[in-house]
Amino acid sequence: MPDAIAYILAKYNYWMAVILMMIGLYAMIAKKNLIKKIVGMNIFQTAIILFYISIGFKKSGTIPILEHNGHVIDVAKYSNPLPHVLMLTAIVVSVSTFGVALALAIKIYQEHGTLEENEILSELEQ
Amino acid sequence: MSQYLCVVIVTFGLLLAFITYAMRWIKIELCLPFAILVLGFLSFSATSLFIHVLIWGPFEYALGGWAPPIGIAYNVDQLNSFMVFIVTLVALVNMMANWKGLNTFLGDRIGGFCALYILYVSGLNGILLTGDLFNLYVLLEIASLTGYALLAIGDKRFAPFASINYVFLGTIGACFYLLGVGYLYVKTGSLNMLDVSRLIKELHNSPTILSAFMFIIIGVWTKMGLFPFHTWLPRAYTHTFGAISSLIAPMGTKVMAYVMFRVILTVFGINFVFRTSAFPYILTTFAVAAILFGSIFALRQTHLKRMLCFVVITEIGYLVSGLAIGNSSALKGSILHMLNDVFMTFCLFLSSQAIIDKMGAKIEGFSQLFVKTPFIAAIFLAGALSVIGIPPTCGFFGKWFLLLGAIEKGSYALFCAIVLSSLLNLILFFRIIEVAFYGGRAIPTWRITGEFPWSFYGGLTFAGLSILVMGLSTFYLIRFVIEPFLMPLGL
Repeated sequence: MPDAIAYILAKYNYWMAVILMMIGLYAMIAKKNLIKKIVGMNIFQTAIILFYISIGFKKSGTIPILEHNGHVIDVAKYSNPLPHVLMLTAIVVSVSTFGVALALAIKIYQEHGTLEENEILSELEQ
Repeated sequence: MSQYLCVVIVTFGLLLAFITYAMRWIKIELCLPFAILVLGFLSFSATSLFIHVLIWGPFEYALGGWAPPIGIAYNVDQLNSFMVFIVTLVALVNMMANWKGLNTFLGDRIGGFCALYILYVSGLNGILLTGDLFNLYVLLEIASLTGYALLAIGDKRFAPFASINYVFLGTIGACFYLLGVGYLYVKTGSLNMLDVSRLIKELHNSPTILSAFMFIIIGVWTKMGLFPFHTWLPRAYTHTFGAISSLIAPMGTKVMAYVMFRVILTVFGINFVFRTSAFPYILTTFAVAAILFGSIFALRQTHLKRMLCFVVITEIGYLVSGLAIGNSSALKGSILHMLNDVFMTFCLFLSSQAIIDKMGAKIEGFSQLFVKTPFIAAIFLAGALSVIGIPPTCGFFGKWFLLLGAIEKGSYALFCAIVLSSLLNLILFFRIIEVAFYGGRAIPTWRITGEFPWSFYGGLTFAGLSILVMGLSTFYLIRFVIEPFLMPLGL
């Protein structure tokens, strides 16, 4: 048992990312309200952003800026900047997805007067 | 000089899209001609790029002068430059064909529409040309986001709701892809496709690589609309405006199929898939299910466009079946089918749009279609024959190579599925042809044109001819486009 706890704790960043992802996925599948679904989608995307950021992080690592005044560059000192930079783009993507989804939700609300998925579906079937 | 074209196609496309929108501040009528000009420019650049690759061979372009494993590289080879060529060409023809219809339907929203249209095409071009896994994700999201916005245009009651469902599923698919890329990055420390493929050769047994493969493949399948993940597809494509469905239906799924081929064949390698016996089984099951269920569901539909959506789902099954068989002829067949399918789907969706405009969407109402609109019906028939797989239309040759591969490999489940679905497609389209020929009575008018503008008939002619041309140039396509792609991979 202590082994299992140690195993989980050693990689807690992955577990957190997975838990967040599952929360997002649950909201997207199980919730009936479109806004809740959209928020779930955003949580899902954020979980992946968190995963990327955690893999680039180092304990007591500093910001990756080269110093030229005679310092020998020691890679072990710096956090890996690449995943962090990639996630800047992914954040932009997730914000725009959020925006597009909300715009569509507004259109749906104007047309149907509700955001509950089952009510919209029953109206569409008529 | 012309090697810069691969970057020009993507960056100029993204830039000019916004200038197209800005045109509305000068004069709103300028947007559409300017958009056509931009698409013409993209199409011309794509043609030059393809000719350049044919003469000088594949090349790698390092963006910003950063050498590939560190910087982003565009890898241009025969297959993806040809895909860019057909994507830009079909986009251009589709825009020109629907000129009038778009103007009347959209009114003063035309500026935004043109910008989205060009962004979508540029996103697809980027997906095709890039040699970087993360860059692919970003461009995939550009294409998807504009695709969501485009698909929401159309029937006000259904289209936005169908589109938001696509947003949810599409986002899950793209995120799975991103997560898989993250796994690959954790294990190899690289994002360049060729570099990753070199590094994971020794890591084939790593569970991380295995999970990366699963995440990426499920993500791509969701975006492709393979059978169990297809639910967004019929709803999204049915209720959107005609010109948009004839843009997105031929390209969206096929470009994602290209991503599947690129990731599996170039990054992981076919040996990775056939290393264990489980993957070929999984692939075969999915392919057979997609082919059969697509055909059967298509038979149940009474709405023409919805039926065509299920035809698209069947075609996706063919594309996966090539990978499931995994030998040279089957892969040739499915890649050929991917190229042909762009034109087949374009032809069907473009002509169905005119048919729906004239006769309504229900198949029972198509009586005397051939007398009322002989030309449109003939083009639709050409697309239908191609989907069934009758030579010399292009659909025949892809299926031929697939069947050949299935026999060589001895995968009879797929063999039977492909033959059966061709027969089901035959029933499917002859159901329409029967109503169109023998249903009801009408006085022959023998008017070939009228009602629709000339540009629309031009687009239809292009669609019909392209099916024949692609079919007749099968030999050249295989010799100059597909074999140079497969040969370096040892197939």
